[in-house]
Amino acid sequence: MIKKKPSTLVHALKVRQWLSEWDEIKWSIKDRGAEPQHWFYQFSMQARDLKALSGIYPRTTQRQRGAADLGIQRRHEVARSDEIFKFVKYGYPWSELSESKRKSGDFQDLRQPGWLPTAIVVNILTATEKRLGKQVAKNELVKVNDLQDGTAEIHLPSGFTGSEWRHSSIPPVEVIDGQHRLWAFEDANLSGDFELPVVAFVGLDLRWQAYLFYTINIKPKKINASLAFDLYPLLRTQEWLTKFEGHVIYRETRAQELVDLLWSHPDSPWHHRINMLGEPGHKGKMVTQAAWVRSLLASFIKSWEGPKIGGLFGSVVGKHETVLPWSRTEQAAFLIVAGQTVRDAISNTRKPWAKALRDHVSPNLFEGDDAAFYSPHSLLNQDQGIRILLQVLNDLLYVRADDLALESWGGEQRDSDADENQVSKAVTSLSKKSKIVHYMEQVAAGLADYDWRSSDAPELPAAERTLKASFRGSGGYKELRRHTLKHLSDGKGDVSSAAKDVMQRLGY
Amino acid sequence: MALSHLNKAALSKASRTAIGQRMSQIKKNWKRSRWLTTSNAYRSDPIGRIDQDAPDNDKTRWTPNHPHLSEYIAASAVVHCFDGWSFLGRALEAELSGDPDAARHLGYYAELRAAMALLAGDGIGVFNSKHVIIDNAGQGACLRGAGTHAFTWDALQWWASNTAGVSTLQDAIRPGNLPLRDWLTHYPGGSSFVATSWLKQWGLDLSRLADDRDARNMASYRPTAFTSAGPTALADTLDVITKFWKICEPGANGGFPVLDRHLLRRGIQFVFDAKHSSATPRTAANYRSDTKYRNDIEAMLGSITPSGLSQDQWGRFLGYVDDPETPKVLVDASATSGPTHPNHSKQVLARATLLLRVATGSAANLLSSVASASRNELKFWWSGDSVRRRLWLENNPPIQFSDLWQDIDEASSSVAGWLQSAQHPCCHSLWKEQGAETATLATAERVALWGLQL
Repeated sequence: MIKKKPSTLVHALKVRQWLSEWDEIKWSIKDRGAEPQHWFYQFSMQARDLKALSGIYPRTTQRQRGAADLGIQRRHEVARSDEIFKFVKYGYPWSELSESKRKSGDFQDLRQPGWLPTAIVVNILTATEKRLGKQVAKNELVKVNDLQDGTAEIHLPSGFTGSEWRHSSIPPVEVIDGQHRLWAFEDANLSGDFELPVVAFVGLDLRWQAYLFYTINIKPKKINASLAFDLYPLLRTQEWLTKFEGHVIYRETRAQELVDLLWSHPDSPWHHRINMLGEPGHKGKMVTQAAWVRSLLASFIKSWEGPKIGGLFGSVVGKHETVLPWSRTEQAAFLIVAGQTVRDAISNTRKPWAKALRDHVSPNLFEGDDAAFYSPHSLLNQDQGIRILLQVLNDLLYVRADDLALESWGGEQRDSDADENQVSKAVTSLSKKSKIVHYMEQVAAGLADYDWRSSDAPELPAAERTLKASFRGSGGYKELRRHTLKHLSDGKGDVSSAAKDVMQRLGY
Repeated sequence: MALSHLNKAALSKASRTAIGQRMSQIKKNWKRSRWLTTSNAYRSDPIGRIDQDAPDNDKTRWTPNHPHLSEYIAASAVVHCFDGWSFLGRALEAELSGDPDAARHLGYYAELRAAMALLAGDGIGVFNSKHVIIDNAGQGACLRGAGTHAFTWDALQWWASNTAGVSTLQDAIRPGNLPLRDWLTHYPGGSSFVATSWLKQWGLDLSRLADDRDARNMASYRPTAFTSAGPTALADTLDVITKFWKICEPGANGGFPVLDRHLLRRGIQFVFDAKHSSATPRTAANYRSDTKYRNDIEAMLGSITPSGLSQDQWGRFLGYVDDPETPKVLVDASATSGPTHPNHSKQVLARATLLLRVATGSAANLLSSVASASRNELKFWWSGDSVRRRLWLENNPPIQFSDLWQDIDEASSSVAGWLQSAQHPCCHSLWKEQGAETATLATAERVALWGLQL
């Protein structure tokens, strides 16, 4: 088969980028920082052709020194190019799976496209530019012809034959950023089309090339995973991500951050009331951070429990199956408002269980704390109670997500560093959503009627003690949850029907 | 008996990749509620069968069933691990019963099973005097060596000094849900990782494990009354066991977040000390105030995002501001008392704990290489009586195994409260008044379940 000679004409867009402020920059030819053109060009090109033009040749024993990186001294990290090659061929996360996982056949659904949408940045050398005393041969220059309509024609050397072409002096193009992407195609035997987007400067001096490399690769603060899930909430429910990374990348990190905020924010009912490092001696005063994280993962941040109940922060919600686009601070605010309604409902209750706890003086309480909510003998201050409180709140709100129009709140804050003010604003904003808050208050009222005393509460009747003892231990989570939901379902109104709905979905 | 050159050459061919591939094939057996195929030739008497495969010393007459052999060894990497934790649980029970000699005996077997699990995961099957390695092609090769115990300790020392062992170790330990290797990539000097040195820094001098075997012999075969130091004070025993449980507390998805971060800090301290020698041993306060140390930590934390603690908490922890004390298990593991010392049995248990942690991490990684949802596939195993035991009511398993921590948390609190108020605390009154709680504190097999991150 006769190989078709590639065209030597490439059509490009001319991209003007210049501000008058830049006129004040001290350009210096002497320091290799001459004033550049006020524009650059964008086009696409086959990877193999760009490699040949920039002198990135296949490895041979004759080759003396890698690519002719005569401008910027740079190393080629083979492992990095190999990684990129695997990504191009198999996509993420398949490219990062271990060999045994790939061979197992269990992860075929993790194969995805390996797009490379970010541009290779190059410099087209002019006739007068020198590198180590050499210039581009006259007949090997890449010439640019600007057109009236804002586009441009890039003329490759007339003798250019594609991937086999070699320069005779120095390559007419030098790569500023993206050499590893080009190296990835070195021995590649990939079928199909794979053009790379290219941004090309013409005659860009070396100082600016180095500066560009730095600002592209090093200066930008890498987005942290947690922020990524706020900027793109759909990521939270991507099965391919969960299958590969498991809980960690979003759920555990997010749970950790929320516990941090619940501990630190002054409006939180749990402000400074979480044992953040699991220190001994706090048992009975505060639930540990680790227990809180486990409870959030079992409630608001869960993906699915059974087929029909998900976590408000971790799964799709409502009849349209959308992800609530709440940021970390908005999620924390939601928990704080929900917690406040429960705490306030309990502080207003005069039920015998609450009175019994208040009558017993506990030395562990902070001043002003309501013993019914904060006593060491209240389940609400124990792992079990926190778990069930969060689960019940999540589940009852989940099944009413559409009625409450949860998606109408939030999704506005895009903070990278959560702070007290952001959470406070979100708390204020949520408090104005009367329908959501009213429902929370109804749920809280039902929960305030429930006897939250633990099995070691003083003067607990024998029958109650036996019941409460069944809530202890790892088997107790399910029992307490069932009992609490039953209590709510025995009440009246919408909360009762929501509780019944939840029980049915859970198979209780 | 040191390994011969021939055996070292054979061991170097052992393949973790082959074990991983075999594990993915074992998955078909899980659907039939079993680890091994019913026809597996090594299932009931592997030693007898291997003897048949390799009669006399004639290598040309080695006629194993390769798929069955590799299936056996792959599955054993997980099951040995569970058995090891189970032995440790029985050892804890013996300690709590005032019987440190039985604790030493059982603790040694916890160590042995941990080592066998670790080796199996990397393609080395320990049997009797004829052991097996599984190579990259999934084929078994027999090597003749010392008996089970001696070979295990020799092979383990060899393993720790080789690339394969280093790699397994760096992946098994996961502080903040990141493999140790990721931390080391970003810590100045972290690339100089040497497994044996790190294990020793953590308190696990592998050469001591053979000594533990000798100590076990005393407990197993000699009249204990003649040499045993007897139990230590109950309060000491309870303190050790409470601290054991604190260090094994699971994260939300299981694992060993507390222990792993202490192992990380200890290891980083080791690397730092190697780079900046000091005339006197450094204390936590020294590290806290050392700018170079703090800068190195900050640089590392700037490049990675571990979970479990906030970035600030990680900085404070690794900088010895929070929780600066070395955990008891690391202190005990590195102790070198002889078998007649009253604390010796606890030191064996500490070494067993650390070895089991590494083995569990290795087994967890093998399981996760099969599919990310191993819990359901392995339900036939963990829900059966031989694993469930007294951990939960039949048909009422925990939704996540990390919930099993709640039993330990409550039992620890209850026993601690009892100890504070007991008039005459002793083993008898402990078991009489806190029997259920004490029995719970001896169920170390639950650690295997959350440690495997099923």
